[in-house]
Amino acid sequence: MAKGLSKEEGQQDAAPAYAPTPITGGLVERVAISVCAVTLFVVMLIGAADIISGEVFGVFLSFKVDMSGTLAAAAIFLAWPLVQRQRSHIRVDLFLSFMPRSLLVLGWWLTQLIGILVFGLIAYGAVEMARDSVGFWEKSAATLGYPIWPAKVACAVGAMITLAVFIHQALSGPKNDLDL
Amino acid sequence: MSGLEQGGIAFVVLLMLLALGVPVGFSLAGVAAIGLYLSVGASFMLTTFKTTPYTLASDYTFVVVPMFVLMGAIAGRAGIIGDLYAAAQAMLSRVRGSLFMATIVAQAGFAAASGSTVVASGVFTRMALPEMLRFKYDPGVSAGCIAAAGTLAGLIPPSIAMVLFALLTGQPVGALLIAGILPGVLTAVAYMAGIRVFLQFRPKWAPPMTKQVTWPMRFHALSKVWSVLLLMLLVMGGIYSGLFPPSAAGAVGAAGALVIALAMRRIGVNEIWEALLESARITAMIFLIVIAGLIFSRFLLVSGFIGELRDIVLATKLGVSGFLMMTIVLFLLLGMFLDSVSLLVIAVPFLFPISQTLGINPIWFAVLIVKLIEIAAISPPVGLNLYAVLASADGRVTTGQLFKGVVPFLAIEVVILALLLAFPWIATILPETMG
Repeated sequence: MAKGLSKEEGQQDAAPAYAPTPITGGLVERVAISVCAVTLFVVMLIGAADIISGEVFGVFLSFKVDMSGTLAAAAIFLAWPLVQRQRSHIRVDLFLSFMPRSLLVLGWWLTQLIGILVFGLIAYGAVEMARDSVGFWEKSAATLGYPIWPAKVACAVGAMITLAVFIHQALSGPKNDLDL
Repeated sequence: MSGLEQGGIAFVVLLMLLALGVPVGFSLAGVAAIGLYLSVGASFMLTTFKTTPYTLASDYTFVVVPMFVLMGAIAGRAGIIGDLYAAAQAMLSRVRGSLFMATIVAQAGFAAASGSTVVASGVFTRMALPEMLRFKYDPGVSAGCIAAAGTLAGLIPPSIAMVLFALLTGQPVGALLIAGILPGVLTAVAYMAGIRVFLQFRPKWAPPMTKQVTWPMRFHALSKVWSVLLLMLLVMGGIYSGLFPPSAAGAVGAAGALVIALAMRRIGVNEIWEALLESARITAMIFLIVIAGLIFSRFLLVSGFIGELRDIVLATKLGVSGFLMMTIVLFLLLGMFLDSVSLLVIAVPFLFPISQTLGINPIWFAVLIVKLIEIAAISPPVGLNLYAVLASADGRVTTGQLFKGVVPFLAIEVVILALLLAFPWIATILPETMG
């Protein structure tokens, strides 16, 4: 068989299509991202199970909208600490290689300060929302009465951890990041 | 201070922060927070930050984003791309420039299993570029071909860009996803036809290949692409026929990809875990920008910027053509240094309301915008796909070679954009016939 026609042969010359994603960071961030991964898996299962049960048995899962939505929100909030720890947020790095060190340091401090401001506001909102939700043990309006408050608490926890990561990074200074 | 002045200052500060390397999400949300505080007060600003992030992240309609990302991550790890590429190579082996053609066809196929243009470009670079170089193809054009074909994932469903457009404008997700099919196919066909024409004048780009491929080999390779066809049928067929809503299509697609990968014994627990972690991270990155973009657009609205800008556009009698030309120029300029998601989030909130005032079909406008951000993704010096290719090329191609090599594809894109502008039905015909 000619080269490149089968998967096995075609991959001899090429590097693996997918390299493992390194998950580094503190224990808290790793636990948070792990919970987040499990949550996404559950969201996938609920969505697929709803369609299968609906199309095959004529019974759609009444809680799927609330459960999928709240779990997805929890997953997103819980993934932010690790994304910030790894500084993976999308940025424009076109001009960075031409910049003098003073501007790089300025950009670094602005990132930290604006990040603290933004995640401070998001964390404030998430904590307020979680407090309100826990206050009456909020449940879904769907027939199952699925509890929504744990997801809101998870969102608040995710936002608070992200804020803590920002503060920790700011206290450590730009030395490590900018190789000064 | 007028709304236009407030918005103008906000944009200047935003661009300065972006240039200093402050992440896009932080820049947008930070400028919006200060803008809201100064224009309408602390109470409104705090309420916005309290409600917007959770409301958006928990909206069932947009659960489709992490699910589409997960579907692509599973499909990629299961080696579905390798099967597609091998089949496309076998079927097109007699055509001049067959590896270019195979890359375009396989990327179009992979686009039906993954909505991320960057993922497509990175993965195909690792797989297709070494093969092209082995057969003495031009390195720059080869890399340019991979980067350009990567943009097909932006149009062919499941397209994350289309979902984000829906998220920012309130347009129906299903109609937008289906609207991308014809323009996506048109782009793939135009790339192949264009490359064929270019090869007449530049035969050195793709020397003739001497390998023999028999029909049994072709059938063998083709027999392995059932997985992609099944996924395509599941997601596109389900949305188009109305069997399930687009919000469920993501979960069905991801679960389908997982079942197929498990059935083919191509994926283990570790790979599934990796795919979940990758999806979580990418989703978190995307949603921060979208949440920040929505808060920024709220600031533009309450400050009066959007209303005043709309009045100016109407007063200058720019008309639909003038407005579209202005949009194209704006995207090409901003696209020189902004990535696709950021470009979408920054520009759509103020362009879309004006487009609706001018009576432009929202589906057509969405397709044009997504096409423009995909052109931006392959436009030097910043085009995100170009860097995805460079990052995965392991030094096989230089930046200069790639920038030069992508030019033929940019020329083809100009033709496709002109066709989309001249014939809006290319974008609107499928959504109009949906179940």
